[in-house]
Amino acid sequence: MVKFIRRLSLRAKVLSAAAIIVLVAILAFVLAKDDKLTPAEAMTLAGIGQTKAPNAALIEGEPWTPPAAGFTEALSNDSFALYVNAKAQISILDKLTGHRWSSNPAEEQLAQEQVKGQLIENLQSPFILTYVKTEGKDQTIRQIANALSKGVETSFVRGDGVLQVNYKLADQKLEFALQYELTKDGLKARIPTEGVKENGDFAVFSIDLLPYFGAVKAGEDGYLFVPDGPGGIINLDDERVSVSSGYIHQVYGLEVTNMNNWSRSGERREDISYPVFGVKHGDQAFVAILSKGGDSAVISALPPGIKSSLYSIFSGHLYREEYLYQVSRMAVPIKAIQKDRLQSDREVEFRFLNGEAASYVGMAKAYRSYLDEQGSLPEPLQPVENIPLYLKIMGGNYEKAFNGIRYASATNFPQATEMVNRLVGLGISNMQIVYYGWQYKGDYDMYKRFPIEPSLGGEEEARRFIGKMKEYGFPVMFEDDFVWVNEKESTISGKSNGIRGIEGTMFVDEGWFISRPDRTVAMAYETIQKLKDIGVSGILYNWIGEMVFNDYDKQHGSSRSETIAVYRDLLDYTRQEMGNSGVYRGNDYALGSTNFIFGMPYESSYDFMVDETVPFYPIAIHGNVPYTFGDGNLRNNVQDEFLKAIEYGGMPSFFLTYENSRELKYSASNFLFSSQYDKWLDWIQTEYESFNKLAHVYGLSIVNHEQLSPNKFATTYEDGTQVIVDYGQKTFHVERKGGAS
Amino acid sequence: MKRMVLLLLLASIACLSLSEAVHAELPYRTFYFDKNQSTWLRLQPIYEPSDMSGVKLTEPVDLQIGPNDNVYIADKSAGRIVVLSQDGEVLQTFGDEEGDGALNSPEGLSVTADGTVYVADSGNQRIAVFHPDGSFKREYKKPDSPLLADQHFVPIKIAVDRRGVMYVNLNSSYNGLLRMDSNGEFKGYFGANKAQQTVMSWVKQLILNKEQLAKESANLPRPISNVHIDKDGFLFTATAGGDGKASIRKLNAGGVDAFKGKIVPAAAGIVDAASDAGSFIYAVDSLIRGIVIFDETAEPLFYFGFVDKDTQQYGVIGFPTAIDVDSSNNIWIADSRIGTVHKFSRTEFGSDVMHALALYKEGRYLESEPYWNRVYARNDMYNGTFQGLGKVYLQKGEYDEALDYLKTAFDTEGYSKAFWQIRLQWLQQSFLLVAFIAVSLILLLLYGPRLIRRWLVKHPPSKRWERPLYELKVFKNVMFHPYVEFYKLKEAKVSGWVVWLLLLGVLAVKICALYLTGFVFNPVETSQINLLTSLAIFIAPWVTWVIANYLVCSIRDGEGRFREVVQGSVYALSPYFFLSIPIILLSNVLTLEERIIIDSLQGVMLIWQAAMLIVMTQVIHNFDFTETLKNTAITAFTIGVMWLFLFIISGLSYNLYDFFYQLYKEATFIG
Repeated sequence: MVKFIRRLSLRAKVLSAAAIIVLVAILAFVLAKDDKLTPAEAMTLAGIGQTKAPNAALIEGEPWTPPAAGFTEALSNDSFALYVNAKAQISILDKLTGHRWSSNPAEEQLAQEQVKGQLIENLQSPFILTYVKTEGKDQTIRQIANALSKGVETSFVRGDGVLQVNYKLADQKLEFALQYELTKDGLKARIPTEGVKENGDFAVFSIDLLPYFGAVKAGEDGYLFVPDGPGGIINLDDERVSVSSGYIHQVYGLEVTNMNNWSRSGERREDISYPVFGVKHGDQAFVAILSKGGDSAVISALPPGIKSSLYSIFSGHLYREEYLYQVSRMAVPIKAIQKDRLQSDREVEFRFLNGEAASYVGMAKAYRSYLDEQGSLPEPLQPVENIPLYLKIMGGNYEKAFNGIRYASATNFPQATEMVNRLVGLGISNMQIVYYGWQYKGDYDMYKRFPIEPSLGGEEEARRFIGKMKEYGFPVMFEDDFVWVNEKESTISGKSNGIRGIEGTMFVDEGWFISRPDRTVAMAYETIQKLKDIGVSGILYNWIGEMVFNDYDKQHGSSRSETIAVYRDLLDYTRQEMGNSGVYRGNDYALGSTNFIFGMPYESSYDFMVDETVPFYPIAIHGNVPYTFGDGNLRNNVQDEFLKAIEYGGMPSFFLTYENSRELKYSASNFLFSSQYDKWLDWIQTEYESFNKLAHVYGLSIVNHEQLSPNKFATTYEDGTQVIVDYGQKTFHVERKGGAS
Repeated sequence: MKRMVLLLLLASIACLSLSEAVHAELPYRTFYFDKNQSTWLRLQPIYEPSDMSGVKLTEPVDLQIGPNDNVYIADKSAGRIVVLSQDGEVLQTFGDEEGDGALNSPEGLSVTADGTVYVADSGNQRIAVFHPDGSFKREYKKPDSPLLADQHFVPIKIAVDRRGVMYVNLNSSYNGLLRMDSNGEFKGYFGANKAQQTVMSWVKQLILNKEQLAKESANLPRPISNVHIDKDGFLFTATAGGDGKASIRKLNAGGVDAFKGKIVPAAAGIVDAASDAGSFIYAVDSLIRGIVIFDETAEPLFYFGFVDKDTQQYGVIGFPTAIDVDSSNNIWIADSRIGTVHKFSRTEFGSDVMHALALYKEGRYLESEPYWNRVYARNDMYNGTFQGLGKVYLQKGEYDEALDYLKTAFDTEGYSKAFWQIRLQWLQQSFLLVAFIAVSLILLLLYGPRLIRRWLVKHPPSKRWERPLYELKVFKNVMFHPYVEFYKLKEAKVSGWVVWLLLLGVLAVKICALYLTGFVFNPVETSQINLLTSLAIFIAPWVTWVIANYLVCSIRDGEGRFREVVQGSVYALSPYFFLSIPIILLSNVLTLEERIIIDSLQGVMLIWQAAMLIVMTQVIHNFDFTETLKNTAITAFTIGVMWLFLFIISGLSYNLYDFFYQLYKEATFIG
């Protein structure tokens, strides 16, 4: 062989070498070509399109001037009438009760105010506009304009049942329009994105819409409602000054990619899950729902002494983000303003309530009918004989051991079967099972999930387990996280699959990046196809119902509302293919597309402003979406949290393993402090029997909730069943209509 | 030490896995300190913020729980004392009316068992005393004493004992607490901190002359931050700064510190300390930003809470100024930034854990068992449970259970005790078996080699094996006749594979030592040992010795070539090889009380090893004895220099590596 090569001429050698190199290159290219699904293909296959609703149109037409000084009627329908004055302040007349809601305090109230200058002007304006420059070194200086500012021109146009107020700030060359429309329940206030024009150096940063609408004096009868946890009440106390600086929080939480937000050291709190707020004053109330653009809005509730002597609550709509721009590793990052504006319509729908309905319960019911009208509320649940127990099983997770990675198994599939058999033997005949840690090596590689972890039994045992569960009639769902990916260990790169922050760099938090929505869909699509084959009945999605974000990538970027649309469509697709989809926390956009919600917030964030916690969100969705709060074996205060779940209409859930949870001590799932099912069997049986007393209200809605005494609460259901919970005695009892249960 | 604890705490917070499915319920995290592993680990909440109406105060700077569980607060800017009920309702205020009782910037207070309130009225430079109903009783101004001529009397904190003797903490005072009796007479200073001698101050004293020393700022002891008297009359002083040394002191009537001025970990930024009926100490610390609970010997147990000056949540403190604990074990903290008090109550889990610990500390193990069982039912991972239950079983005499639990808790002392009992039982039961094994081992050791030799004579190995076997025999003999054997090795070419075999043998023994040493002497989790690092740490000194020895000795006219030095060093490892085996075996059967055996065996091994290396140097390089010692010393110095050099080079090249790594990261993220 060697001799043969030596005898060849130089030309032959060179040509053959080149040919071999080319062949090798082609082969390598072909072999290394990723035959995985690209995100775009996955999106089309799953039918997740990018259909966007059209923007609201601006009204052109004859300019209209309110004839008289004072309020004149501009719009009217059967239940309400809208009055407006020359200063563009509005007033809504409730024709049924004769009550008037105004956008700004009356003259007598203003005379009592002690603030001066811009603050007193804000009190008289239906909007507060904050504007900045997007270039230059004084970018971050925010300046405020309101309807009374110098150089602001106001003009009105009316038509099609809509009153449009055009505002033009001549000096800053900014324009925007406010549209008002009456509905059968109240008012819609809208800021169309087409109307926001920036013709000069200045740019709109945020617009506070109707900041003093329904503002109340301290000491009056009533309260403010904020979406803190399940629902929070702010009483109109006199003595609140200087402890709190207001409840000001962004809907769905702050923007995670913005480094500016990370400098707020450790604010652990319940993010706002639903963009709703409300006011109760005497026997009149309203609930305000951010129907459009709620994902980029801030809900603010201010006590007296901060900006005025009134309690006020309103929504502030963000158009740009301020972010920290890291120029070099040594220097302090500089603040900059995002150049591009968020192009989305903003709309707030006010629904007015009176009499009996003027309470947080009435507000919840109004929100419920809103969700129903939008198609965001699923069908009422089918009635059941026995309440379903949500059984979460932790299979195991990876741990670093002996200089390598190994999977620490806590419950393999045969053991899971044994567990369920034991529980059925206790008398639990209805279960929904969610299986965690089934992926190959657990959470180690967030991209490679298959084959199913061999030490659990692999695919074969999984099929057997699911088959046995089908005999019982228990659906088995698998949990997974398609959103956070750890860079080092996972086999996809962050560069092309992670979301980017405003400054253009990939967002990384301690080695983890957030996957782009379309990549999330691609991963989920493949997983769904494979799991469907095995017989899995659904997927519990981690993070999809809890966190939304902007992706500022120049080419594939998406806004929060686009992320929401993709996630919602993914949940719908999962339900269509497998039958069930589940989320944690249950932000409002997920409601229409999910079968259950885990970990719904039931506690407040211990905020200074919030005085009481009320089950607004549970009242809005009970009977259509089942939800659980904490797991029965991971509670801090066992009895109190159990009673809370009964009071708020939650389902029983437990997070269990077969082995001692100490097996997971060095793994990534070491948050399960105590999960060995053996230890909890008695307690599970007792708790299940307690929850089962409420089996007959499984698919019914809550019609009332009230506090009977400092420690006693009563929840009333559609069929008249009343559940009375006593935190003092640590008991509860169920009273069915026509006798005790 | 304190810094290490603090760093460990911060590190453990930082490494928590992101994709936790559990959600933020409390606005802070809770940790417990595992003494055996010297690290902080996550725990379920033991205290949570309590439902309480937000009381509005101006600037609360001191707080104490009175005899009927009312909360007394000194509100500095408002110049008054506020008394709250357990629900946070204001019961009374005093000190703000005109007259003798008008307070001016009161910074401290103390309430006696009968409800009399002593206020450190700093603005008026006096102690103002009020009756339980709030009416003014009397005042104490600066005592008339020639000894106090230079002392500015500005009281900021005060503690009063049963007899009415006042311990007053003066502003910026380095002399400790000023003691005054109930007549207002000066009774001396009490409990001053010790000034800390640092190396720098000692060096300065040595070098500088009197004039220069006079210009240096005086090395004064740190002033006391806050004082607290517990139910037994001990005085607790909280002193911030200085890495936590003497940050909490428990002084008796004579001024002697029960903690002996020790460094209290996690208390370097302490603001105030309090104690409860069970002798647990609660401290609020602004450096570690939270509340730390210590046992009665000032060892840290738990840490929770958070401090954030922009806080808008109960449970997150803006600026802590004082702490106290009431009879239901609720913790009250005064927050001067937000102008309110935070109340924390124990969760069910917290109640069980604290009860169990209290009983455990008192040695009432059997009584603590039900509480530990309840804790264990709700937390499989808290090491304290295993320690507690282990001691319970030890006392009950269930030694196998005790062994299991104590091993999980990494408690070598307890494990050793349980093991001793089990061993004793086993010996008593199987005495004959033990005797038989012992006798057969002795016989084997005595007659075994003889039998092997006779067998070898009858069946001599082939020619090819003769030489290697001989070389392996030398490995054993070199321990007893070093000079002779090393001389045989000099200029002998030992086959490569024999040398490799011997080296691998030594490494194998090391690996066995890492994994198979008995738990009592090696309390680590075997799966978490980083094998490569441990082996590297073991091999590196030997490698540097070989290189340094060859380099130094060749310069100093030694005769040994590199190959001979390597050979010799490998053979010199034989004491380690042969002695480690009995050490490993013994470590599995001995208890801590018999550790002297293992320690002395290890000592012998080390000395033997050193001697072998010296002999090797002498023989291989053909030095005489004094030369050998000199050259060995130079070799040791060279090893030090080599390590220093490597250290510097690695520091510099790390920067280079880091530059390229950052460049790579930039390239992969942007574009």
